[in-house]
Amino acid sequence: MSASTISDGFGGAQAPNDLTQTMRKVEPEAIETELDTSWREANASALASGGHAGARNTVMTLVIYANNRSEARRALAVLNDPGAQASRAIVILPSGATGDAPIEAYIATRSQTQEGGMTSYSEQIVLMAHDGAVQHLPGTLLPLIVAGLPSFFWWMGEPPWRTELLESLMDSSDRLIVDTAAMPQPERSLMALDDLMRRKKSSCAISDLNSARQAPWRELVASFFDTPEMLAYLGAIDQVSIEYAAGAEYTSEAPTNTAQAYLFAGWLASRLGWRALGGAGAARGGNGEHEQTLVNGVNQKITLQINARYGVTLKDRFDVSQVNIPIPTQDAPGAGADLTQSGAASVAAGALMLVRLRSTVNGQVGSFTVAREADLEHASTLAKLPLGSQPSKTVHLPTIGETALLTEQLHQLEHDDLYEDALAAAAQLLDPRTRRVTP
Amino acid sequence: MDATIDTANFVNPLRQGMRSTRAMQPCVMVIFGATGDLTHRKLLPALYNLAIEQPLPAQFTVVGVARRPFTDEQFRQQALDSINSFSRRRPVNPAIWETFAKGLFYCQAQFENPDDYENLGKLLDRLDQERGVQGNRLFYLATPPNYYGAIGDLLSSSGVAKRGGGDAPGWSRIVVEKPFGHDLASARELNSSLNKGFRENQIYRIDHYLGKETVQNIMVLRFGNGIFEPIWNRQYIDHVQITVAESIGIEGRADYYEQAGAIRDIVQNHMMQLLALTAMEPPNTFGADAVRDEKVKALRAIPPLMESEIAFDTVRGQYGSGIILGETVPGYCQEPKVSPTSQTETFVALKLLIENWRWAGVPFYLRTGKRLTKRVTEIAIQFKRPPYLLFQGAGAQQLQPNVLSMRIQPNEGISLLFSAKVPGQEMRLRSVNMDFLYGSSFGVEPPEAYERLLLDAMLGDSTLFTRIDETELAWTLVDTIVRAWAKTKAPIATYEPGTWGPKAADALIERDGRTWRRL
Repeated sequence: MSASTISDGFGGAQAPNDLTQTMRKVEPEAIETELDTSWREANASALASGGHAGARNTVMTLVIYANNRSEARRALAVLNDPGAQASRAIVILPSGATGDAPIEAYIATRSQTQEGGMTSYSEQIVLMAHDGAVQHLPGTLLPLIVAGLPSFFWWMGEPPWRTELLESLMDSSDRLIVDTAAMPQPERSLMALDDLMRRKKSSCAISDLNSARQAPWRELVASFFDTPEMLAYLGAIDQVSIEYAAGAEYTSEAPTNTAQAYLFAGWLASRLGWRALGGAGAARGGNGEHEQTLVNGVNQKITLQINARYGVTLKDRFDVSQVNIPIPTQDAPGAGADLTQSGAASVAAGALMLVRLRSTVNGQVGSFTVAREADLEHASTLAKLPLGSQPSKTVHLPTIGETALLTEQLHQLEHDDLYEDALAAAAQLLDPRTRRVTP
Repeated sequence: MDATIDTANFVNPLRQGMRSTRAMQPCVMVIFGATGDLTHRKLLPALYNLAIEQPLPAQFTVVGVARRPFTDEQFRQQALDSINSFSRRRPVNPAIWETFAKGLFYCQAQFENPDDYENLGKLLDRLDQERGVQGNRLFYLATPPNYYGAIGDLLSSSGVAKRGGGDAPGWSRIVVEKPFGHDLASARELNSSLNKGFRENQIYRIDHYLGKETVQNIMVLRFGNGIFEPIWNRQYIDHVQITVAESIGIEGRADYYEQAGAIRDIVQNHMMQLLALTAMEPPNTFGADAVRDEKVKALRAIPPLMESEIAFDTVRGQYGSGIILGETVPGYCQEPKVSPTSQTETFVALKLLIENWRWAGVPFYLRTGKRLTKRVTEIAIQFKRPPYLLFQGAGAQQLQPNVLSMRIQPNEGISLLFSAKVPGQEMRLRSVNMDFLYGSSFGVEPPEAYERLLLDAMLGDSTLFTRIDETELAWTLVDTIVRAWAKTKAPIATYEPGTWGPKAADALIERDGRTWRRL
């Protein structure tokens, strides 16, 4: 935001490195006391200079597990974004190094004054765990979660599935947030997430930033069928093609991420009651091609094709410059309109490139396509029906930064049934031998 | 259309679980007054914002209707200028604009010429075919109010609008801007004209205040929390103050304002809606009729004011000339196109009672005006003092009573004023404020009121629109006051611009041993 200002409750004294240079090192057991002191000092200072006293209007606790300093820096950048909610944020950072103490704590209070004089306040705590002390972090961390308010837990990168650390932190949270786009083996991760979701469903909801990214695609595909006349086509879909961005050209080493494609297929399957046939129903090609046979509720077959699209420039998904998405405001011309980076057109690995549904009604074929445009920033719809075409619609597909994606998840307290159903169905597509009951 | 499909209850299975499960059918929005200020500043930017945020279907179409001899291209250029000037999503995204602009058309018409409606009908029929609009039509009256009746009549007699319940495919709805009539009689007359072509459930009387997030939050605060409703009654509440204050003057709108005055411009619609939302009983559901039934019950419980009470419980005023922030500003009677002897009020304060079990004996004080100290809209619930002053001599007598204030604009949020001990050896008390600010807590910018309301009208959800019985009840109250004022011989009192209105407004509330909040 162009006119926002950020002030820290602390100076840079005792900063051990760039990560925590605007934070103050405190004893772990004194974190609450030091935060109280910092608010009092900041308010006294503000009042003395004719300003207003701040308020600790915390609306939630956000715990972030960062695997390394780079991820921790990204987390702090997200937290410092003017669009971030008033929160107590606790960043966990494991460190292989030996420290003076097993756990080091750093704190900061921040007030952000936005355009119009609106000020928001937040507290940040970094817990650095040395020498494997990360396993013992819950004892330090759990008392810091603000009682009675929603608690969110964002695990950056791939969580250690079926570990005590992950599951005990989940048990203290209302929602676990992950990003399957950041996981090196997305298909295995989707299966593990599904397993976690089933075991923890009663205590903790799960969200995936990667699912939030494809919301515009779901919206566009759903919009084809918003009139009763189109219902027949929806029930008669016999072929689904999904393409995802996979880089310049095929190489056996090049990483591809099929998570979005499977989540999208899982969404369709869960909404329309499709399931994968077990046994010989699936085939994989060498170039990231995957074909599978599904059946709908009346046992009609649907061919699902998931294909890698090459010839696409991929961007570094974790460029921190993407994190700071301006909030659109009426007084800030240009703010919020263009969320893409300058330079050559590029998309993140695994981003959806095309979704095409083919439907045959009374022997006549209709097709419904959403395709990413050549500029990679827009998608257009095309519906070809036996009696003519629907008007095309083009929408902007912004490169949504982590702040915006995260903020969306933080607004949800209840289970995201759409995602959880899609995840369960995606896992069933990946492992049809396991007969799951679709929620 | 397949007659066996229940279109009203049709659910797109792909929408299940989505944040917005409401599927929008293709439709054309016909804007009467397409070259006017409302269309320029609000409607076209709001539609573009909706296009950006995706809810509009691909077939969505706009037909602008006005007297100017525009072509489709000129109308598109005007729309582009509007969006570039007023959209919160500016500058325009060229790719989205291209598809949005393809759905913009223009029809030159005199609003009272039946032949022009034939041309409009032909255009709409053509668009039904070409763009797959399926006969769904939303008519938006953004014209001066004196055309509403004629447009409603001609839409009906020309067959351009379809009265609900017929065999023809598609739906027709009409959105009418405020003011809905000039008094009760004209409101009923206008409604009769509209009823020729539209049933009540096809008429959407817009009050943009109801599209504001903070106004919708009044219901959430009351009925989404367990702690407020038990004390939301005469046992705990001393009185309620509703303020709609503007710091600006009439900004060149003399033609309209001379006819309306503050009581018709603000009290009849915005303030009565705020009062109804504050005073209503919990609805059974969050459905259009359930909510509006309860609002009507609250309005119906306001007893008619006697003439003697009006002299006592209402105050009107008019801003004089003065200096605000170093700038000389003209008085109302010196504004262009205003009669030098005008008696039109630019300020109103009034005291209302709601005679029902919940509110008996709790006064609602309303004040609104132009050229007041600041722009602020809020509802303040002032609670009763504690029954016994335990902390005698500790400053407790000077303490403010608890006040829960809901700020509609600016700085949208909720505050609670309560007493706290001043730190120290002695027992001293002071009032402190606990603030909740939307912008600070959620970090997101709410959509424009018009975006929400246009979307609701297209989706057929009339919860946030005013029903005719609400409108009539509000006019009944206002008519009584206006008639009584007309009989008084005394000239209207003037007030200094930049103040909180005439002294008589202070007297109105001070007679009851209370004071206006300092905002």
